[in-house]
Amino acid sequence: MDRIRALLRRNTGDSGPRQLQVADLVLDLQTKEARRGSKTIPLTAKEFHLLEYFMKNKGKVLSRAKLAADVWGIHFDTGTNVVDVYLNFLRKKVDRDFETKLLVTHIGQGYRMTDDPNSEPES
Amino acid sequence: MTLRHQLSRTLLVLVAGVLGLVLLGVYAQVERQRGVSYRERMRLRAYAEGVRFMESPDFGMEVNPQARAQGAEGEPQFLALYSIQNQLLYGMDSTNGGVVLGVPFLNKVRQEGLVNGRQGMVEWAALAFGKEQYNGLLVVCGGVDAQGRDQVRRLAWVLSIAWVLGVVLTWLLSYRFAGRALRPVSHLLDKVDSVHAEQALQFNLPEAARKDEIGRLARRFNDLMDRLREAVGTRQQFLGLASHQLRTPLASMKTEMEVLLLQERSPEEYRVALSGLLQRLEDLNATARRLLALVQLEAGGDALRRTALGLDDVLLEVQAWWGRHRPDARIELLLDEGVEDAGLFTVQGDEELLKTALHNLIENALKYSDNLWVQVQLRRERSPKGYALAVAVADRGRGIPEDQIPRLFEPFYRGTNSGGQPGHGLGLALVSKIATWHGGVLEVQSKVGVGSTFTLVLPPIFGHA
Repeated sequence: MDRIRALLRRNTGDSGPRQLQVADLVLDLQTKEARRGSKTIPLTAKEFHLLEYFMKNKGKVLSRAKLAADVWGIHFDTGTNVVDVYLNFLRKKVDRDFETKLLVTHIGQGYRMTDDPNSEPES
Repeated sequence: MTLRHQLSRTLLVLVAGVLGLVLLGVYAQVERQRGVSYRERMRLRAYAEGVRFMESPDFGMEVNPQARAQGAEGEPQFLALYSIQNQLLYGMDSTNGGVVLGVPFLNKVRQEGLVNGRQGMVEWAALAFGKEQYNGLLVVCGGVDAQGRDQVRRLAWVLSIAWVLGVVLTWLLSYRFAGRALRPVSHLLDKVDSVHAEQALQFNLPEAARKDEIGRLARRFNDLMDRLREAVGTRQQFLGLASHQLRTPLASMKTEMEVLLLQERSPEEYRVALSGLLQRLEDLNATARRLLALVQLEAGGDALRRTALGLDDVLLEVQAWWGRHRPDARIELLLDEGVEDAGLFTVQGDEELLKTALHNLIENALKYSDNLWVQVQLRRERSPKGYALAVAVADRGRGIPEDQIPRLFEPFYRGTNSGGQPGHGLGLALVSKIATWHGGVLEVQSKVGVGSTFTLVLPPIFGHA
Protein backbone atom coordinates (compact mmCIF):
# COMPACT_ATOMS: atom_id res chain seq x y z
CA MET A 1 0.00 0.00 0.00
CA ASP A 2 2.73 2.42 0.92
CA ARG A 3 4.65 1.30 -2.12
CA ILE A 4 1.77 2.30 -4.32
CA ARG A 5 1.42 5.61 -2.58
CA ALA A 6 5.12 6.27 -3.00
CA LEU A 7 4.87 5.39 -6.68
CA LEU A 8 1.93 7.71 -7.17
CA ARG A 9 3.73 10.48 -5.34
CA ARG A 10 6.81 10.00 -7.47
CA ASN A 11 4.66 10.22 -10.56
CA THR A 12 3.25 13.61 -9.69
CA GLY A 13 6.50 15.05 -8.28
CA ASP A 14 7.56 18.72 -8.39
CA SER A 15 7.93 18.77 -12.12
CA GLY A 16 4.41 17.49 -12.67
CA PRO A 17 1.23 19.51 -12.87
CA ARG A 18 0.00 21.14 -9.68
CA GLN A 19 -3.57 20.36 -10.45
CA LEU A 20 -5.72 18.12 -12.60
CA GLN A 21 -8.89 19.13 -14.36
CA VAL A 22 -11.78 17.35 -15.98
CA ALA A 23 -14.60 19.60 -17.18
CA ASP A 24 -15.32 21.93 -14.25
CA LEU A 25 -13.83 19.54 -11.68
CA VAL A 26 -10.46 20.70 -10.38
CA LEU A 27 -8.19 18.64 -8.11
CA ASP A 28 -5.37 20.50 -6.42
CA LEU A 29 -2.52 18.04 -5.89
CA GLN A 30 -0.73 20.16 -3.32
CA THR A 31 -3.61 20.96 -1.01
CA LYS A 32 -5.46 17.72 -1.82
CA GLU A 33 -8.62 19.73 -2.30
CA ALA A 34 -11.26 19.13 -4.92
CA ARG A 35 -13.53 21.77 -6.35
CA ARG A 36 -16.33 21.57 -8.85
CA GLY A 37 -17.78 24.83 -10.04
CA SER A 38 -18.02 26.98 -6.93
CA LYS A 39 -18.37 24.09 -4.52
CA THR A 40 -15.45 22.78 -2.40
CA ILE A 41 -15.50 19.01 -2.00
CA PRO A 42 -13.79 17.50 1.05
CA LEU A 43 -12.06 14.16 0.42
CA THR A 44 -10.63 11.44 2.61
CA ALA A 45 -7.16 10.15 1.73
CA LYS A 46 -8.52 7.10 -0.06
CA GLU A 47 -11.09 9.12 -2.01
CA PHE A 48 -8.36 11.55 -3.08
CA HIS A 49 -6.18 8.74 -4.43
CA LEU A 50 -9.04 7.24 -6.35
CA LEU A 51 -10.06 10.55 -7.87
CA GLU A 52 -6.48 11.41 -8.78
CA TYR A 53 -6.09 8.06 -10.51
CA PHE A 54 -9.30 8.54 -12.48
CA MET A 55 -8.36 12.03 -13.55
CA LYS A 56 -4.88 10.97 -14.64
CA ASN A 57 -6.43 8.17 -16.69
CA LYS A 58 -9.17 10.35 -18.07
CA GLY A 59 -11.11 8.75 -20.88
CA LYS A 60 -9.88 5.21 -20.22
CA VAL A 61 -12.08 2.42 -18.92
CA LEU A 62 -10.55 1.12 -15.70
CA SER A 63 -11.48 -2.35 -14.51
CA ARG A 64 -12.15 -3.12 -10.89
CA ALA A 65 -9.09 -5.31 -10.70
CA LYS A 66 -6.89 -2.54 -12.06
CA LEU A 67 -8.33 -0.02 -9.61
CA ALA A 68 -7.92 -2.47 -6.76
CA ALA A 69 -4.33 -3.11 -7.70
CA ASP A 70 -3.22 0.47 -8.45
CA VAL A 71 -5.13 2.39 -5.80
CA TRP A 72 -5.43 -0.15 -3.03
CA GLY A 73 -2.51 -2.43 -3.70
CA ILE A 74 -4.71 -5.50 -3.75
CA HIS A 75 -3.16 -7.98 -6.14
CA PHE A 76 -4.76 -11.23 -5.24
CA ASP A 77 -7.98 -12.61 -6.47
CA THR A 78 -10.19 -12.24 -3.50
CA GLY A 79 -13.67 -10.91 -3.13
CA THR A 80 -14.12 -7.38 -1.90
CA ASN A 81 -16.49 -4.62 -2.84
CA VAL A 82 -14.25 -1.83 -1.67
CA VAL A 83 -13.87 -0.44 -5.20
CA ASP A 84 -17.63 -0.25 -5.71
CA VAL A 85 -18.18 1.29 -2.32
CA TYR A 86 -15.56 3.99 -2.83
CA LEU A 87 -16.74 4.70 -6.32
CA ASN A 88 -20.14 5.29 -4.76
CA PHE A 89 -18.64 7.71 -2.24
CA LEU A 90 -16.85 9.53 -5.02
CA ARG A 91 -19.95 9.72 -7.18
CA LYS A 92 -21.95 11.16 -4.30
CA LYS A 93 -19.38 13.85 -3.72
CA VAL A 94 -18.38 14.69 -7.27
CA ASP A 95 -21.38 13.95 -9.50
CA ARG A 96 -24.61 13.91 -7.53
CA ASP A 97 -25.32 17.62 -7.21
CA PHE A 98 -24.21 18.45 -10.73
CA GLU A 99 -25.83 18.07 -14.11
CA THR A 100 -22.94 16.56 -16.06
CA LYS A 101 -21.96 13.15 -14.72
CA LEU A 102 -18.25 12.63 -15.00
CA LEU A 103 -17.98 9.07 -13.69
CA VAL A 104 -19.43 6.54 -16.10
CA THR A 105 -20.08 2.84 -15.49
CA HIS A 106 -19.32 0.38 -18.25
CA ILE A 107 -21.16 -2.75 -17.30
CA GLY A 108 -18.91 -5.80 -17.27
CA GLN A 109 -15.83 -3.67 -17.91
CA GLY A 110 -15.31 -1.09 -15.29
CA TYR A 111 -15.49 2.66 -14.77
CA ARG A 112 -14.38 5.72 -16.71
CA MET A 113 -13.97 9.39 -15.96
CA THR A 114 -14.74 11.72 -18.83
CA ASP A 115 -15.78 15.30 -19.44
CA ASP A 116 -18.33 14.18 -22.00
CA PRO A 117 -20.47 11.25 -20.85
CA ASN A 118 -21.75 10.67 -24.37
CA SER A 119 -18.33 10.15 -25.88
CA GLU A 120 -16.77 6.80 -26.69
CA PRO A 121 -14.04 5.42 -24.42
CA GLU A 122 -10.44 5.58 -25.51
CA SER A 123 -8.94 2.24 -26.29
CA MET B 1 -16.88 15.12 68.16
CA THR B 2 -18.20 11.63 67.70
CA LEU B 3 -21.41 10.95 65.84
CA ARG B 4 -22.99 9.94 69.11
CA HIS B 5 -22.23 13.29 70.72
CA GLN B 6 -23.39 15.15 67.65
CA LEU B 7 -26.67 13.28 67.56
CA SER B 8 -27.29 13.69 71.25
CA ARG B 9 -26.47 17.39 71.15
CA THR B 10 -28.72 18.00 68.16
CA LEU B 11 -31.53 16.15 69.88
CA LEU B 12 -31.02 18.16 73.06
CA VAL B 13 -31.12 21.50 71.26
CA LEU B 14 -34.21 20.43 69.36
CA VAL B 15 -36.09 19.25 72.41
CA ALA B 16 -35.07 22.29 74.46
CA GLY B 17 -36.26 24.56 71.69
CA VAL B 18 -39.53 22.80 71.03
CA LEU B 19 -40.36 22.31 74.69
CA GLY B 20 -39.46 25.91 75.41
CA LEU B 21 -41.70 27.18 72.65
CA VAL B 22 -44.61 25.02 73.72
CA LEU B 23 -44.37 25.98 77.37
CA LEU B 24 -44.00 29.63 76.42
CA GLY B 25 -47.15 29.29 74.36
CA VAL B 26 -49.00 27.77 77.27
CA TYR B 27 -47.91 30.58 79.55
CA ALA B 28 -48.86 33.27 77.07
CA GLN B 29 -52.30 31.80 76.59
CA VAL B 30 -52.96 31.44 80.32
CA GLU B 31 -51.86 35.02 80.93
CA ARG B 32 -54.08 36.29 78.15
CA GLN B 33 -57.00 34.37 79.50
CA ARG B 34 -56.43 35.85 82.89
CA GLY B 35 -56.56 39.36 81.49
CA VAL B 36 -59.70 38.69 79.50
CA SER B 37 -61.41 37.12 82.44
CA TYR B 38 -60.51 39.97 84.79
CA ARG B 39 -61.69 42.67 82.43
CA GLU B 40 -64.93 40.82 81.96
CA ARG B 41 -65.40 40.78 85.70
CA MET B 42 -64.68 44.50 85.76
CA ARG B 43 -67.28 45.08 83.11
CA LEU B 44 -69.90 43.31 85.14
CA ARG B 45 -68.78 45.22 88.20
CA ALA B 46 -68.95 48.51 86.33
CA TYR B 47 -72.52 47.76 85.35
CA ALA B 48 -73.41 46.81 88.90
CA GLU B 49 -71.84 49.98 90.31
CA GLY B 50 -73.60 52.08 87.75
CA VAL B 51 -76.94 50.66 88.70
CA ARG B 52 -76.19 50.99 92.38
CA PHE B 53 -75.18 54.61 91.91
CA MET B 54 -78.43 55.51 90.30
CA GLU B 55 -80.73 53.44 92.42
CA SER B 56 -79.21 53.42 95.82
CA PRO B 57 -79.35 56.59 97.88
CA ASP B 58 -76.42 55.71 100.03
CA PHE B 59 -73.84 55.18 97.32
CA GLY B 60 -70.50 56.21 98.53
CA MET B 61 -71.36 55.53 102.09
CA GLU B 62 -70.72 51.78 102.09
CA VAL B 63 -70.43 49.70 105.08
CA ASN B 64 -66.73 49.26 104.74
CA PRO B 65 -65.21 52.05 102.78
CA GLN B 66 -61.77 51.07 103.97
CA ALA B 67 -62.01 47.64 102.61
CA ARG B 68 -62.92 49.16 99.35
CA ALA B 69 -60.09 51.60 99.53
CA GLN B 70 -57.57 48.94 100.29
CA GLY B 71 -58.58 46.84 97.37
CA ALA B 72 -59.72 43.75 99.20
CA GLU B 73 -60.05 40.42 97.42
CA GLY B 74 -62.10 40.94 94.27
CA GLU B 75 -62.78 44.59 94.95
CA PRO B 76 -61.93 47.11 92.28
CA GLN B 77 -59.25 49.59 93.24
CA PHE B 78 -60.37 52.14 90.83
CA LEU B 79 -63.86 53.41 90.22
CA ALA B 80 -65.01 56.53 88.45
CA LEU B 81 -68.44 57.64 87.36
CA TYR B 82 -69.07 60.45 84.90
CA SER B 83 -72.16 62.36 83.95
CA ILE B 84 -73.31 62.77 80.39
CA GLN B 85 -71.36 66.02 80.29
CA ASN B 86 -68.26 64.10 81.39
CA GLN B 87 -68.30 65.55 84.82
CA LEU B 88 -66.79 63.34 87.49
CA LEU B 89 -69.65 62.34 89.77
CA TYR B 90 -67.68 59.90 91.89
CA GLY B 91 -64.05 58.87 91.94
CA MET B 92 -62.04 56.40 93.91
CA ASP B 93 -58.49 55.47 93.08
CA SER B 94 -56.35 53.44 95.34
CA THR B 95 -53.94 52.33 92.66
CA ASN B 96 -50.57 53.89 93.12
CA GLY B 97 -50.19 54.59 89.48
CA GLY B 98 -52.86 57.19 89.23
CA VAL B 99 -55.03 56.37 86.29
CA VAL B 100 -55.51 59.27 83.93
CA LEU B 101 -58.55 59.38 81.75
CA GLY B 102 -58.97 62.21 79.30
CA VAL B 103 -62.02 63.55 77.50
CA PRO B 104 -61.23 61.97 74.13
CA PHE B 105 -61.19 58.68 75.91
CA LEU B 106 -64.54 59.29 77.51
CA ASN B 107 -66.01 60.20 74.13
CA LYS B 108 -64.66 57.03 72.68
CA VAL B 109 -66.37 55.05 75.41
CA ARG B 110 -69.69 56.75 74.67
CA GLN B 111 -69.21 56.01 71.02
CA GLU B 112 -68.41 52.34 71.43
CA GLY B 113 -70.39 51.59 74.55
CA LEU B 114 -67.65 49.47 76.12
CA VAL B 115 -63.92 49.87 76.11
CA ASN B 116 -61.40 47.65 77.79
CA GLY B 117 -57.98 48.86 78.55
CA ARG B 118 -54.98 48.91 80.76
CA GLN B 119 -52.37 51.23 82.01
CA GLY B 120 -49.42 49.44 83.50
CA MET B 121 -50.66 46.78 85.85
CA VAL B 122 -54.12 48.31 86.14
CA GLU B 123 -56.78 46.83 83.93
CA TRP B 124 -60.22 48.33 83.58
CA ALA B 125 -63.49 48.26 81.84
CA ALA B 126 -65.28 51.44 80.85
CA LEU B 127 -68.99 51.24 80.30
CA ALA B 128 -71.37 53.92 79.08
CA PHE B 129 -75.10 53.74 79.62
CA GLY B 130 -77.42 55.05 76.98
CA LYS B 131 -79.16 58.47 77.33
CA GLU B 132 -82.52 56.95 78.00
CA GLN B 133 -81.01 54.69 80.56
CA TYR B 134 -79.55 56.40 83.57
CA ASN B 135 -78.89 59.59 81.72
CA GLY B 136 -75.78 58.51 79.90
CA LEU B 137 -73.87 57.55 82.94
CA LEU B 138 -70.27 56.43 82.27
CA VAL B 139 -68.61 54.01 84.63
CA VAL B 140 -64.94 53.07 84.66
CA CYS B 141 -64.02 50.21 86.88
CA GLY B 142 -60.66 48.54 87.25
CA GLY B 143 -57.78 47.46 89.34
CA VAL B 144 -54.79 45.25 89.65
CA ASP B 145 -55.62 41.59 89.27
CA ALA B 146 -53.38 40.55 92.10
CA GLN B 147 -54.96 37.16 92.54
CA GLY B 148 -54.92 36.25 88.89
CA ARG B 149 -51.41 37.47 88.37
CA ASP B 150 -50.25 35.55 91.34
CA GLN B 151 -51.68 32.34 89.93
CA VAL B 152 -50.11 32.95 86.59
CA ARG B 153 -46.79 33.63 88.24
CA ARG B 154 -46.95 30.34 90.05
CA LEU B 155 -47.75 28.60 86.80
CA ALA B 156 -44.76 30.27 85.19
CA TRP B 157 -42.56 28.81 87.87
CA VAL B 158 -43.95 25.35 87.38
CA LEU B 159 -43.49 25.61 83.62
CA SER B 160 -39.90 26.76 83.98
CA ILE B 161 -39.03 23.92 86.27
CA ALA B 162 -40.77 21.52 83.94
CA TRP B 163 -38.70 22.82 81.06
CA VAL B 164 -35.44 22.44 82.92
CA LEU B 165 -36.33 18.93 84.02
CA GLY B 166 -37.36 18.01 80.51
CA VAL B 167 -34.10 19.26 79.06
CA VAL B 168 -31.97 17.47 81.62
CA LEU B 169 -33.89 14.23 81.17
CA THR B 170 -33.60 14.49 77.41
CA TRP B 171 -29.91 15.09 77.70
CA LEU B 172 -29.38 11.96 79.77
CA LEU B 173 -31.63 9.74 77.67
CA SER B 174 -30.54 11.08 74.27
CA TYR B 175 -26.95 10.21 74.91
CA ARG B 176 -27.94 6.67 75.75
CA PHE B 177 -30.27 6.25 72.79
CA ALA B 178 -27.87 7.82 70.32
CA GLY B 179 -25.41 5.21 71.40
CA ARG B 180 -27.97 2.48 70.90
CA ALA B 181 -28.86 3.68 67.40
CA LEU B 182 -25.26 3.85 66.35
CA ARG B 183 -24.28 0.54 67.76
CA PRO B 184 -24.76 -1.34 64.46
CA VAL B 185 -22.42 1.14 62.79
CA SER B 186 -19.71 0.62 65.35
CA HIS B 187 -20.35 -3.10 65.12
CA LEU B 188 -19.79 -2.86 61.36
CA LEU B 189 -16.63 -0.89 61.95
CA ASP B 190 -15.33 -3.46 64.40
CA LYS B 191 -15.98 -6.28 61.97
CA VAL B 192 -14.22 -4.44 59.17
CA ASP B 193 -11.29 -3.61 61.39
CA SER B 194 -10.88 -7.20 62.44
CA VAL B 195 -10.54 -8.27 58.83
CA HIS B 196 -7.34 -9.73 57.52
CA ALA B 197 -6.67 -10.45 53.84
CA GLU B 198 -7.93 -13.96 53.12
CA GLN B 199 -10.22 -14.17 56.13
CA ALA B 200 -12.09 -11.11 54.96
CA LEU B 201 -13.61 -12.98 52.13
CA GLN B 202 -15.41 -15.34 54.45
CA PHE B 203 -17.78 -13.15 56.38
CA ASN B 204 -21.21 -11.74 55.77
CA LEU B 205 -22.89 -9.15 57.94
CA PRO B 206 -26.06 -10.10 59.82
CA GLU B 207 -27.17 -6.46 59.79
CA ALA B 208 -28.13 -6.98 56.18
CA ALA B 209 -31.54 -8.17 57.33
CA ARG B 210 -32.53 -4.74 58.64
CA LYS B 211 -34.81 -2.51 56.64
CA ASP B 212 -33.16 0.83 57.41
CA GLU B 213 -30.04 2.61 56.15
CA ILE B 214 -27.82 0.35 58.24
CA GLY B 215 -29.33 -2.63 56.48
CA ARG B 216 -28.65 -1.06 53.09
CA LEU B 217 -25.08 -0.32 54.03
CA ALA B 218 -24.55 -3.86 55.26
CA ARG B 219 -26.07 -5.33 52.10
CA ARG B 220 -23.83 -3.18 49.89
CA PHE B 221 -20.89 -4.33 51.94
CA ASN B 222 -21.86 -7.96 51.50
CA ASP B 223 -22.23 -7.42 47.74
CA LEU B 224 -18.81 -5.86 47.63
CA MET B 225 -17.31 -8.79 49.51
CA ASP B 226 -19.04 -11.22 47.15
CA ARG B 227 -17.61 -9.50 44.13
CA LEU B 228 -14.19 -9.36 45.69
CA ARG B 229 -14.41 -13.04 46.50
CA GLU B 230 -15.38 -13.77 42.93
CA ALA B 231 -12.61 -11.64 41.49
CA VAL B 232 -9.98 -13.23 43.68
CA GLY B 233 -11.32 -16.64 42.79
CA THR B 234 -11.27 -15.86 39.10
CA ARG B 235 -7.76 -14.55 39.30
CA GLN B 236 -6.52 -17.61 41.12
CA GLN B 237 -8.26 -19.82 38.62
CA PHE B 238 -6.79 -17.85 35.74
CA LEU B 239 -3.26 -18.05 37.13
CA GLY B 240 -3.65 -21.74 37.73
CA LEU B 241 -4.87 -22.41 34.22
CA ALA B 242 -2.27 -20.13 32.66
CA SER B 243 0.65 -21.78 34.36
CA HIS B 244 -0.73 -25.23 33.54
CA GLN B 245 -1.24 -24.29 29.90
CA LEU B 246 2.30 -23.12 29.61
CA ARG B 247 3.95 -25.89 31.57
CA THR B 248 2.23 -28.82 29.90
CA PRO B 249 3.57 -28.21 26.38
CA LEU B 250 6.95 -27.24 27.78
CA ALA B 251 7.11 -30.49 29.74
CA SER B 252 6.18 -32.57 26.74
CA MET B 253 8.70 -30.78 24.58
CA LYS B 254 11.36 -31.44 27.19
CA THR B 255 10.50 -35.13 27.24
CA GLU B 256 10.65 -35.30 23.48
CA MET B 257 14.08 -33.71 23.48
CA GLU B 258 15.32 -36.08 26.17
CA VAL B 259 14.10 -39.07 24.19
CA LEU B 260 15.74 -37.68 21.09
CA LEU B 261 19.07 -37.43 22.88
CA LEU B 262 18.96 -41.01 24.20
CA GLN B 263 20.37 -42.46 21.04
CA GLU B 264 22.23 -41.50 17.96
CA ARG B 265 19.86 -40.55 15.16
CA SER B 266 20.12 -39.71 11.51
CA PRO B 267 20.35 -36.06 10.44
CA GLU B 268 16.97 -36.44 8.81
CA GLU B 269 15.38 -37.63 12.03
CA TYR B 270 16.91 -34.72 13.89
CA ARG B 271 15.68 -32.28 11.27
CA VAL B 272 12.11 -33.59 11.41
CA ALA B 273 12.08 -33.61 15.20
CA LEU B 274 13.52 -30.12 15.39
CA SER B 275 10.95 -28.77 12.90
CA GLY B 276 8.16 -30.22 14.97
CA LEU B 277 9.62 -28.78 18.17
CA LEU B 278 10.08 -25.40 16.52
CA GLN B 279 6.44 -25.37 15.46
CA ARG B 280 5.32 -26.22 18.97
CA LEU B 281 7.57 -23.48 20.33
CA GLU B 282 6.03 -20.94 17.99
CA ASP B 283 2.55 -21.94 19.12
CA LEU B 284 3.66 -21.58 22.72
CA ASN B 285 5.08 -18.18 21.91
CA ALA B 286 1.79 -17.12 20.37
CA THR B 287 -0.07 -18.28 23.45
CA ALA B 288 2.32 -16.46 25.75
CA ARG B 289 1.90 -13.29 23.72
CA ARG B 290 -1.85 -13.55 23.88
CA LEU B 291 -1.72 -14.15 27.60
CA LEU B 292 0.43 -11.08 28.04
CA ALA B 293 -1.92 -8.99 25.92
CA LEU B 294 -4.87 -10.17 27.98
CA VAL B 295 -3.20 -9.33 31.25
CA GLN B 296 -1.99 -5.96 29.99
CA LEU B 297 -5.44 -5.04 28.77
CA GLU B 298 -6.94 -6.03 32.05
CA ALA B 299 -4.43 -4.16 34.16
CA GLY B 300 -3.28 -1.06 32.34
CA GLY B 301 -5.64 -0.69 29.42
CA ASP B 302 -5.74 3.05 30.05
CA ALA B 303 -2.07 3.37 29.20
CA LEU B 304 -2.73 2.66 25.53
CA ARG B 305 -3.62 5.62 23.38
CA ARG B 306 -6.51 5.79 21.04
CA THR B 307 -6.35 7.26 17.58
CA ALA B 308 -8.85 7.76 14.84
CA LEU B 309 -8.82 4.78 12.48
CA GLY B 310 -10.67 3.99 9.31
CA LEU B 311 -12.05 0.49 9.86
CA ASP B 312 -12.21 -0.09 6.10
CA ASP B 313 -8.45 0.56 5.85
CA VAL B 314 -7.72 -1.74 8.78
CA LEU B 315 -9.83 -4.52 7.29
CA LEU B 316 -8.17 -4.15 3.90
CA GLU B 317 -4.75 -4.50 5.49
CA VAL B 318 -5.84 -7.59 7.41
CA GLN B 319 -7.25 -9.08 4.23
CA ALA B 320 -4.01 -8.34 2.42
CA TRP B 321 -1.98 -10.04 5.15
CA TRP B 322 -4.04 -13.21 4.86
CA GLY B 323 -3.78 -13.08 1.09
CA ARG B 324 0.00 -13.15 1.41
CA HIS B 325 0.31 -15.75 4.18
CA ARG B 326 -2.56 -18.08 3.37
CA PRO B 327 -3.27 -17.75 -0.32
CA ASP B 328 -5.30 -20.95 -0.20
CA ALA B 329 -7.90 -19.30 2.01
CA ARG B 330 -10.56 -17.04 0.57
CA ILE B 331 -11.27 -13.98 2.72
CA GLU B 332 -14.07 -11.85 1.34
CA LEU B 333 -14.40 -8.26 2.45
CA LEU B 334 -17.69 -6.50 2.01
CA LEU B 335 -18.15 -2.88 2.94
CA ASP B 336 -21.51 -1.30 3.73
CA GLU B 337 -22.68 0.26 0.47
CA GLY B 338 -25.39 2.29 2.14
CA VAL B 339 -22.89 4.43 4.00
CA GLU B 340 -22.94 8.08 2.98
CA ASP B 341 -19.33 8.97 3.53
CA ALA B 342 -16.05 7.09 3.93
CA GLY B 343 -15.40 9.03 7.12
CA LEU B 344 -18.29 7.24 8.81
CA PHE B 345 -16.15 4.11 9.04
CA THR B 346 -13.91 5.82 11.59
CA VAL B 347 -13.48 4.53 15.13
CA GLN B 348 -11.37 5.62 18.05
CA GLY B 349 -8.99 2.84 19.00
CA ASP B 350 -5.69 1.03 18.77
CA GLU B 351 -4.70 -0.31 15.35
CA GLU B 352 -2.62 -3.23 16.65
CA LEU B 353 -5.36 -4.39 19.01
CA LEU B 354 -8.01 -4.26 16.32
CA LYS B 355 -5.80 -6.16 13.90
CA THR B 356 -5.07 -8.74 16.58
CA ALA B 357 -8.78 -9.15 17.19
CA LEU B 358 -9.53 -9.61 13.52
CA HIS B 359 -6.65 -11.98 12.96
CA ASN B 360 -7.86 -14.10 15.85
CA LEU B 361 -11.40 -14.20 14.53
CA ILE B 362 -10.31 -15.10 11.02
CA GLU B 363 -7.90 -17.71 12.31
CA ASN B 364 -10.68 -19.28 14.36
CA ALA B 365 -13.04 -19.22 11.41
CA LEU B 366 -10.50 -20.99 9.20
CA LYS B 367 -9.56 -23.48 11.91
CA TYR B 368 -13.04 -24.75 12.41
CA SER B 369 -14.19 -24.99 8.82
CA ASP B 370 -13.10 -27.33 6.08
CA ASN B 371 -13.77 -25.02 3.20
CA LEU B 372 -11.39 -22.19 4.12
CA TRP B 373 -13.98 -19.57 3.34
CA VAL B 374 -14.39 -16.51 5.55
CA GLN B 375 -16.54 -13.48 4.92
CA VAL B 376 -15.77 -10.22 6.70
CA GLN B 377 -18.53 -7.67 6.50
CA LEU B 378 -18.37 -4.06 7.71
CA ARG B 379 -21.78 -2.58 8.42
CA ARG B 380 -23.05 0.63 9.91
CA GLU B 381 -26.01 -0.16 12.09
CA ARG B 382 -28.47 1.66 14.27
CA SER B 383 -27.89 1.12 17.95
CA PRO B 384 -29.61 2.32 21.12
CA LYS B 385 -26.96 5.03 21.40
CA GLY B 386 -27.18 6.17 17.78
CA TYR B 387 -24.98 4.22 15.42
CA ALA B 388 -22.47 1.40 15.68
CA LEU B 389 -19.97 -0.14 13.32
CA ALA B 390 -20.22 -3.91 13.13
CA VAL B 391 -17.49 -6.15 11.77
CA ALA B 392 -19.00 -9.57 11.17
CA VAL B 393 -16.66 -12.49 10.58
CA ALA B 394 -18.69 -15.35 9.19
CA ASP B 395 -17.69 -18.88 8.30
CA ARG B 396 -19.45 -21.98 6.99
CA GLY B 397 -17.75 -24.34 9.39
CA ARG B 398 -18.69 -26.76 12.11
CA GLY B 399 -20.57 -24.36 14.27
CA ILE B 400 -20.75 -24.22 18.06
CA PRO B 401 -23.31 -26.08 20.19
CA GLU B 402 -25.75 -23.70 21.87
CA ASP B 403 -24.98 -24.80 25.41
CA GLN B 404 -21.32 -23.88 25.00
CA ILE B 405 -21.86 -20.35 23.78
CA PRO B 406 -22.19 -18.70 27.22
CA ARG B 407 -18.71 -19.81 28.23
CA LEU B 408 -17.11 -19.18 24.90
CA PHE B 409 -15.26 -16.01 25.89
CA GLU B 410 -13.80 -17.46 29.07
CA PRO B 411 -10.03 -17.66 29.05
CA PHE B 412 -8.80 -21.17 28.32
CA TYR B 413 -12.26 -22.46 27.54
CA ARG B 414 -12.35 -24.87 24.62
CA GLY B 415 -15.57 -26.16 23.24
CA THR B 416 -16.10 -29.88 22.75
CA ASN B 417 -16.65 -29.28 19.07
CA SER B 418 -13.09 -28.13 18.64
CA GLY B 419 -12.23 -31.68 17.72
CA GLY B 420 -8.52 -31.95 18.26
CA GLN B 421 -7.51 -28.62 16.83
CA PRO B 422 -4.43 -27.17 18.51
CA GLY B 423 -5.09 -24.16 20.59
CA HIS B 424 -5.27 -22.92 24.11
CA GLY B 425 -8.64 -21.24 24.20
CA LEU B 426 -7.38 -17.71 24.66
CA GLY B 427 -8.21 -16.22 21.28
CA LEU B 428 -11.84 -15.37 21.90
CA ALA B 429 -11.19 -14.17 25.45
CA LEU B 430 -8.69 -11.73 24.01
CA VAL B 431 -11.00 -10.54 21.24
CA SER B 432 -13.78 -10.01 23.74
CA LYS B 433 -11.45 -7.97 25.96
CA ILE B 434 -10.33 -5.90 22.98
CA ALA B 435 -13.94 -5.23 22.10
CA THR B 436 -14.80 -3.95 25.57
CA TRP B 437 -11.62 -1.87 25.68
CA HIS B 438 -12.86 -0.07 22.58
CA GLY B 439 -16.19 0.55 24.23
CA GLY B 440 -17.87 -2.14 22.20
CA VAL B 441 -18.82 -5.78 22.45
CA LEU B 442 -18.22 -9.17 20.81
CA GLU B 443 -21.31 -11.08 19.74
CA VAL B 444 -21.63 -14.59 18.44
CA GLN B 445 -24.23 -16.49 16.48
CA SER B 446 -23.70 -20.09 15.60
CA LYS B 447 -25.48 -23.19 14.38
CA VAL B 448 -23.96 -26.65 14.40
CA GLY B 449 -23.33 -27.90 10.89
CA VAL B 450 -24.11 -24.51 9.35
CA GLY B 451 -21.45 -22.12 10.59
CA SER B 452 -20.65 -19.26 12.95
CA THR B 453 -20.62 -15.51 12.82
CA PHE B 454 -18.63 -13.47 15.28
CA THR B 455 -19.51 -9.79 15.26
CA LEU B 456 -17.32 -7.06 16.70
CA VAL B 457 -19.60 -4.11 17.47
CA LEU B 458 -17.79 -0.84 17.98
CA PRO B 459 -18.91 2.73 18.68
CA PRO B 460 -18.00 5.04 15.78
CA ILE B 461 -16.57 8.50 16.21
CA PHE B 462 -19.42 10.00 14.25
CA GLY B 463 -23.03 9.40 15.00
CA HIS B 464 -22.55 8.05 18.48
CA ALA B 465 -24.34 9.59 21.41
